Amino acid sequence: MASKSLSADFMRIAIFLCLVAFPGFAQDCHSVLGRQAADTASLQQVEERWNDAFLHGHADYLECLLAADYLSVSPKGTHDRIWELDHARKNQGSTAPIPETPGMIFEVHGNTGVMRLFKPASPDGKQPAQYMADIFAFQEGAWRAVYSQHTLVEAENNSAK
Amino acid sequence: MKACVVAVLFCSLALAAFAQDCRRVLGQQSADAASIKRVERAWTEAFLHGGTDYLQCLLTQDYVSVSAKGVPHDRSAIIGFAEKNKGKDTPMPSLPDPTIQIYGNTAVVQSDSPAAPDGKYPAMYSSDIFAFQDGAWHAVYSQHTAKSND
Repeated sequence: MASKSLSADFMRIAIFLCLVAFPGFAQDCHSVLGRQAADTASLQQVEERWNDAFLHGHADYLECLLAADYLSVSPKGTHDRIWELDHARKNQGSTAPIPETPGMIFEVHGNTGVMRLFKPASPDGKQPAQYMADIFAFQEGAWRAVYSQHTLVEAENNSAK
Repeated sequence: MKACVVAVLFCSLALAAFAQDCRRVLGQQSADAASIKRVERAWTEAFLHGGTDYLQCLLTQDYVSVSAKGVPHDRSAIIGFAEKNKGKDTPMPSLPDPTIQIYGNTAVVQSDSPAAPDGKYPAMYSSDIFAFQDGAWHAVYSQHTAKSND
């Protein structure tokens, strides 16, 4: 009887802590992600901050930006949210400049955001030409990254845009 | 001034008629995975058999599909390819079950398919991105990625 009462108390406390902690977390993500609107201007700012956060190890930003089941697909396979966070953390303290990425196209359809980009091959030939896309959903007042995909452009299609 | 009012009225009526027609073409839908599955199937069917009216309602104006070779095709190109399939009785392919993730009015449909036995297609990852608007899912973007052999 006593153990049943104890476990019921424990359950109540756990539920209370969850209810208190969740809005706290959401509140914190609001301040981390900043004020946003469901438009292309906000989407563009989010892309810039994402690049900055990844290259300079701001994992707190990425924790709020990336959906729990975020997935990034490339020819070599898939990476999940944890992979992204781990790799960003390795860049903590880095002062590497953020590379310019001209040609990003932003599209918004209600609460759905798409950034797509044709990235030409690097002049030294180390990076092949590719198409990239980041997909976002606008939820709780901010854009969340839900999916990314990278496709290599075959040599004969390099001028395709 | 009168001509301008008439033109605006005409455009509004035409737009409403088009939306009404698309609702009928796309059918009753909900912002859920079951509707997405039906839309994916109807999309494949429309593409293979030239159902261009369905594609015109399904694909947004700025829809783009990037092929596994890294070639982008816009809405009009995709509808043009489907047009060429009119009258064909190509059987529906058996495709692997995709993973469907829904975030409010946004859906990501992702699949991982093996290479075609005849070598026509490489093993690839594919995704279709949808937005739920005006009571139906609309395709806004697709991308295919050939898996590397290394």
